[in-house]
Amino acid sequence: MTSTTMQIGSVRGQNTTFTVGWAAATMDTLNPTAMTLADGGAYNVIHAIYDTLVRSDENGSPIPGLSVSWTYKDPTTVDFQLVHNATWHDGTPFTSDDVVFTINLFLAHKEFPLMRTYVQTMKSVQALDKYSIEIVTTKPDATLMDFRLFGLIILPKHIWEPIANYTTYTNDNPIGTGPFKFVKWGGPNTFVQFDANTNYFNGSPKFDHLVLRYFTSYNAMALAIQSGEIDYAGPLFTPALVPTLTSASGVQVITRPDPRYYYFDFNAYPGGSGNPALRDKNVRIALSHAIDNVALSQVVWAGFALPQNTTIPLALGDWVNPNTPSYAFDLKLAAQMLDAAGYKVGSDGVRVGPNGVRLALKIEVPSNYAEEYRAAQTIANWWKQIGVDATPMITEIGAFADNSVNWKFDTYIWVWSAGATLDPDWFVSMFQSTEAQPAPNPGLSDSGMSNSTYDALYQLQISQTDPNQRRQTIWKMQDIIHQEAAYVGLYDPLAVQAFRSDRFMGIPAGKLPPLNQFATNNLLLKIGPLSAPVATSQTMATSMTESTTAAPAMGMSTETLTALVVAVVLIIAVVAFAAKRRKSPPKGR
Amino acid sequence: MVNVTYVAKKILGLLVTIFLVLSFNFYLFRILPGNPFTLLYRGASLPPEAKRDLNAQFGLDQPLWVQYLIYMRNTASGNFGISYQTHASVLGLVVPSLINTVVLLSVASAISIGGGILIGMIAAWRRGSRIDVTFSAATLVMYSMPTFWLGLVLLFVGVIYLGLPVGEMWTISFGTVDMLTQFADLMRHMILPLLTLVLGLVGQYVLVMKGALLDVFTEDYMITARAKGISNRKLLWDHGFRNAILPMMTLVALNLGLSIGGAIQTETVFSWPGMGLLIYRSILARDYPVLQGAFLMVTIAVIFANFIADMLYPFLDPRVASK
Amino acid sequence: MSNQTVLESEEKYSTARAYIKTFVEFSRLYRRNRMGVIGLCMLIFFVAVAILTPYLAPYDPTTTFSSAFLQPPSWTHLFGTNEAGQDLFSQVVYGTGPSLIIGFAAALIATTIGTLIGLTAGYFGQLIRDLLMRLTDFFLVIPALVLMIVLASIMSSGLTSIILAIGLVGWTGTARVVMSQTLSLREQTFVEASKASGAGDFYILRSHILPNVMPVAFAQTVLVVANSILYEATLTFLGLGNPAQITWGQILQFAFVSGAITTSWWYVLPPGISIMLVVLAFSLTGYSLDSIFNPRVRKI
Repeated sequence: MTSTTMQIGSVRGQNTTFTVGWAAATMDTLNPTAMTLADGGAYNVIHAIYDTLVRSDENGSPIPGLSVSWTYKDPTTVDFQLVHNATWHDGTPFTSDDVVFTINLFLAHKEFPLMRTYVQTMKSVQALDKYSIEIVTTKPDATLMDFRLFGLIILPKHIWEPIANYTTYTNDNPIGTGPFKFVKWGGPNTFVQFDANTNYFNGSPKFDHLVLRYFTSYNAMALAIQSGEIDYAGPLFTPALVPTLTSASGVQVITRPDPRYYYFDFNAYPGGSGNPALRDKNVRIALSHAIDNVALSQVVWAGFALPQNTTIPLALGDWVNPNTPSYAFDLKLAAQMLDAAGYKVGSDGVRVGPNGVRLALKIEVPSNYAEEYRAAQTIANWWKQIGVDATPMITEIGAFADNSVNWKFDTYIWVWSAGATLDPDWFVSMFQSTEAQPAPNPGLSDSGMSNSTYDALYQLQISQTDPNQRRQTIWKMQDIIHQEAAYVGLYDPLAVQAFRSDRFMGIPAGKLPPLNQFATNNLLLKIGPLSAPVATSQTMATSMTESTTAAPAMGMSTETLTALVVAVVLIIAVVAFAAKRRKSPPKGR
Repeated sequence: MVNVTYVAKKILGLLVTIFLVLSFNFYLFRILPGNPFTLLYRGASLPPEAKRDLNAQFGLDQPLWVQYLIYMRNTASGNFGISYQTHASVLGLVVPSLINTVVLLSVASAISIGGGILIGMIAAWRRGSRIDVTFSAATLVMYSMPTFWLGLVLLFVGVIYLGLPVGEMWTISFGTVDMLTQFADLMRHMILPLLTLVLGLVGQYVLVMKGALLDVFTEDYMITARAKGISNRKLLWDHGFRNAILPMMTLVALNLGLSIGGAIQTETVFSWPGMGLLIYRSILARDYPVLQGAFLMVTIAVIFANFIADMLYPFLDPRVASK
Repeated sequence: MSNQTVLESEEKYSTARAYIKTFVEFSRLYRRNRMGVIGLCMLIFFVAVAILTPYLAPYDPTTTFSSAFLQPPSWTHLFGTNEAGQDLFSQVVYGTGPSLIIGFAAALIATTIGTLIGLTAGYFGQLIRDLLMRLTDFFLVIPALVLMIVLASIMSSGLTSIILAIGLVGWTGTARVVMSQTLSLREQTFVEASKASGAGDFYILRSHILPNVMPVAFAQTVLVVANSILYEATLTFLGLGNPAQITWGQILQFAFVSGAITTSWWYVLPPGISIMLVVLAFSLTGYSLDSIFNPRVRKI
């Protein structure tokens, strides 16, 4: 290796490189207008090179990006004061012209798959002066700040205006205002290299080079961080790899709630083919009393999940109503409620209702979340004790999704996750009555909930641009969902990530995992090399209350290995011996 | 020279087979249950219009025979569709993966064939000896192991005790160091997957080589030749070897299908970014367009390889062409 | 009429001969073959484990011991525990039955299809033979595992789809063997004589040919079972199985997906060794049977 090559993961005075391992979707395009998915691999890369008007902090709240402040002149008009000293990577100064150009570009091009979502509620934009702009929306949009503007990449007018065909433009040398300058992309599934933008208006990153390396397996990545090939690894290690990570010297494990949650769903849609007993709210409440989400988070995720009472993932911080309860786990109470609802235990131990409806329910689990099958089994065991004949089963994901859309199931376990947004709107949208339609249901609802108060509150929150007011509304909505017993919140799995605390420091605190698609830049801007190398420590920075005490067993002892080798040799010897003795004299010799 | 009818028949066979595979491929994937897009619809990043776009793009609202024609036309022009997951072009995913698999498999086959020849010669020469019997027994034991499990064991031993990388193809970012270091890095990553594949493949080559040699040993002219005093070694080389080439080649062609199976398992275990890993990941995500494209690519590659083998036979064995 | 009787007894004789005259002679032949005996003993062992599973497994395989997460082997957990705290020894024991049954079922389907195709191809005219041979070649040229993956993934994943996938792909070996055997049998005198006395094709197939191909098909079946068990393990490992069903391949799949393979050797070794031993057992038995029944097998 020559001296001019990058020192990967080394910590020196000059030329530090921070190498990040990423085992999720890999980089596929450098052109923001061609991006199709917000959780696609391009997202992180684009957001390191380009800026947005507002960014997400570690709790999902909007903080200044290219805009330093914003004011609502009226519910549909927002003025933004932009930074004065931002420059594009090629030296050209950033002005309001770039913002106006970008927004108008997206407004004019409905074919930009992802970017058009971000301007969907915008009517117009204008520059007020060189460093301020005004955006007008068609109606009050509460998701403007923490959804739309999070993702709206600001493009340089002087580069993009002359382009003829935007969707075929490869953007091989992307120029943005962001904290990192693009250097090289190694091709699909490899890596992306960046240099720090020392002129970044928000302060230069604390290291010189950034490498984002893609891994296809978490195993490989766990060993890579152990051996020091990478400095940070994520986004979602499996719990089984935690012992490897914690036992490695110099590696610190970080666990934070991931913005997604698993839930238990009742098919209460009147027009569906689920068990009609589930349309009775009291039955649902009774059954909810027979699910213990605390115990389930232990069973399924070995403690690497937090119990989830509401329908908004814990990672979304303040949007979660801390006072919304979950139905207390009480099998006796559940049995009483079922009796009261008219479902008496029959001769075969299964409850039968007034219309002869048997409480025989299927609990389905999609095939790509097979671990939740353990939860389904546990729930079935609880329900059997209160006279409900529950059958846990795994359904092929294609058929599972089909069943959901056609209301052809009784109950199931599934997941909602934050796709493009940390805005709570996404997580409360599926409970509107308008989202519950006859088969094939094009809406998001899978509970069939229909509550007019809720619908009204939904329309209200989406226009409440004052976050405090909106929070009150969202909290009220969670209470209604609880009262309706539409879902039973199960758990919010923790994102397990690791980093080399013996080389770098500065992990941002907060509710979100440091390495996630929204707030990764906070990680990248806050982290820096250790001022002085420390003796390796193994503290676990975690927001979990308990940690596993299992002793990590690494390799096997030499005795076991010897025993194994001996055993293999023995098998071969036995077979060889048997074969040799069997031999009859060869023909023709 | 080469029989034209033979070549023509083989080419016709090739085209017919490819056509059948294409149709088979189309039919298989159209009897899927449910609309796979239901899953994508649940993602927050998909606006309502996009749902309609996707349906139109994949032609899912057309009658089946129209879809068939669209499919045939698309495939012929190299459009294998787009991945459900990433919306990236399937062809763009499949081709680099295929290259990586070809790299791995060709090296593994070369080593297996070489090893097979060597060990086969020893085994034939010292037939019935302890070496021969041990090899046969070891092969039998190897054959009884699932390839992926052998890979898992080698992975464990290699990583924990030998410090080898746990998978993937590169550690050092490509292009940041000189070619030699890069090559060494690649070799380090290749050892374990290679070993897994070779251990699975070599047994059959040994068997064929040994069988072919033994065949030759018992031929009358061999006995005569030995009576005449020609050394055994010379006979081995001249006749034995040449006699073995044909069945060896047949085996290579036949083995391609099995080798692909071994490659899929090996690549999954070692995260080697080839077709096998691509197939594995598209199974996990139920990404049917990618699975379909991968299946097609792999099958056509194997058919093609068989075809090439067929083309080479007449040069190796003139009797074949004159049939 | 006396011709008929001669033919019948001749046919009975050849049938009996094909079925082995007496069990004693068969076992004498078999016993000479050490490998076969070892294989059979191993088979009996595993079948016994499968039958006696509830008595042998110390715990319910799905019970989670919440404080024993990925523990190495100990006296309370002979094979250690997995990432959900379940006892691996019980899981491996419980996995024996399903692993064997799936292998059998798949092999049954494969050999039935193969025998039918082989018989038809070998017995009837050139055209049918060519057609069926083309079909066989088509299935041979498509890489087996890939086709099985495709079949298993488009049917809803689980046991039946794996069994079907293996069965629908794995018949080619049997078809070829049965076909060549049928071809040679077809030329034999007693068949011709039977035809001459007016016996129909179906009768001949059923009474003359089928009994004579059965032994060779049977030997093939045993080998096909070995392969099917390997394929089932592979398909399940790749994620096409039903995670609710414990088989050895499924245990390995959980080990891989949870990331435990680089740390927990007790998770990886026992299921794999079990697979290896069972497949070895079937192979040894199958090869011995094959060497008894199949006149073409070379003793290398």
